[in-house]
Amino acid sequence: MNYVIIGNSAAGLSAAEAIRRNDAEGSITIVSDEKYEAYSRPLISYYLKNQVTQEQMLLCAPEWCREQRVTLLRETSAEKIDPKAKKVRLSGGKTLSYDKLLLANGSVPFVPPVEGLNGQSNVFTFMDLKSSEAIRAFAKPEMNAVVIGGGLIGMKAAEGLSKLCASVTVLELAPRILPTILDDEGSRLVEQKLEQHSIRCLTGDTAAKVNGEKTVESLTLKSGSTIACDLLVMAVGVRPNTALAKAAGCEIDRGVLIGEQAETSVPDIYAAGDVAQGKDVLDGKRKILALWPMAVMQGKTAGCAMAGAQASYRGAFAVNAIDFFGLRISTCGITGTEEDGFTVLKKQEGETYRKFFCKDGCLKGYILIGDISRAGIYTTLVREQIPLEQLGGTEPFDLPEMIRFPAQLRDELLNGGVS
Amino acid sequence: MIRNRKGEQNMKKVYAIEKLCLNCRLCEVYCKTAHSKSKDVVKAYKFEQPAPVARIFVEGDNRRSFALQCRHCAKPKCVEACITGAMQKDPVTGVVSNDPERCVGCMTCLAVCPFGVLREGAIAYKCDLCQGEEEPACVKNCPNHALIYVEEGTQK
Repeated sequence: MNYVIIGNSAAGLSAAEAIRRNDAEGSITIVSDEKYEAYSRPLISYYLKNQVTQEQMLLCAPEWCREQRVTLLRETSAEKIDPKAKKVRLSGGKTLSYDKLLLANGSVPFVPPVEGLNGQSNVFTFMDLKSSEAIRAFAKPEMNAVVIGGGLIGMKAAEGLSKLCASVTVLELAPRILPTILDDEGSRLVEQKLEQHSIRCLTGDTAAKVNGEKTVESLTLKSGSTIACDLLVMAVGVRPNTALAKAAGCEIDRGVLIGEQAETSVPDIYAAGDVAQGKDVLDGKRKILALWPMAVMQGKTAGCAMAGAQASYRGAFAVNAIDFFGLRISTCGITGTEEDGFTVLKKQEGETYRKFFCKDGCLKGYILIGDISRAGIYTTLVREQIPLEQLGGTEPFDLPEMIRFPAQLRDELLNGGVS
Repeated sequence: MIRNRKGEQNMKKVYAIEKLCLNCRLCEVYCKTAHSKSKDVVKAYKFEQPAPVARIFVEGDNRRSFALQCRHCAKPKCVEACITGAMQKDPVTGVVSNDPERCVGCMTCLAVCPFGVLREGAIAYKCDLCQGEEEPACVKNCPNHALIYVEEGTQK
């Protein structure tokens, strides 16, 4: 068997491991456009603030490829898939034949057109190690940095930049920062934390015009004011790399649509990670859950399925943990306040904020800020859809404890059925 | 020797016996001490910085209680979710442990752990079954034998 994996991060690596566990003989080739060996993308923000070295970011021991008998093609991109001949054409003209193919090629930053933005030398994105290296090399203590986009990527860039530059301003068009994971109250708490560390968040505003020829010098905002800018990070959003899959005939929505074995609509082509759009077990909708644990889970599933083993992709849902200057945030499941039929419970005490989203007597999602201790127990309630009634009908505000679970269920979870 | 269906040797784990637990929380005290630099109760509690962290949780009250720590799952979600590769399950011993040199303290493991048994700090802290010791400190020091250290499948 020839296995070809496009992409060398969480999903691709997990797939390679799963294939090798189930097929000792087959040939595995990973195609990566990166010049580096596999590293942890989420750590680029830790690299920016100098908390980790490049060596610490590596995901595999140096002998991993040899031991797992994986061929890694670096600085190589896949250009075209021929699903009939089952071949992938690579940059440089080489062609690879596959029996099973995995698309784990992630996403790319989306840079919207802005008046005056024309490839100035002090404009960056923040998505991979190369971009993090470039920002770190360019940033100077006297600079005013601006980040356009107040999502997870933008805010993590801002946190790192605050340690490198004199000032950091974040522009977010939505009325609050971290609009996709937090609500107004939660965002305000985070904003206050950021202000303490000299990060200014301007919400409901964005750059209307970029001023400066060779380098950006200032930004004219939609609200009319002008702000100085010596370093600009564009972090408006990402787009899944669907072009390859689309050209191969795979069914695409926002991402590459996958079923429960991470299979696409084209035989023998699978997709996993940030490029894939699979079913959210909580509401049945197919979504891109661009989160590390999902990428690993989908990659494993794809790898098992590709090697003909039983794939155990029991559905996915979002779980995320992040922190800004020590203010911890954990979110899980469905956290949109506009959803129908949801009961929303919330409570705030100082820097601690908890919000729970319940439906049909079960917990469907949460937002925890400040105190996230034992958050995983809430995640269990979401994952297993355990009726809250079974926990004594208490509201989920109470201390999360396993002792609340009915004895039999708890015993099953703790001593037996855990896998 | 107990073997599971795959023919692998079952690992030894700590099991709590609810009806014997007195809610004295000495397991927490000894766990914290065992994971301190000084290994001395008083120094661990009063003087050490950063303060050592207990990796066992006593839940409940004087009527009903039990102690809980990492279950060293067969397919650990914390390992799957770890963004750095710090969290690993030893293929031989089955022990799930967190490499302090690699962990950056993102706490994704804490958010996915089914039992909420990781503790937050500069890094994630968890039960390592007191590797290198004959018996974990919590088991050794439980005054009422409410914690036992036995092979999986023999706890009942």
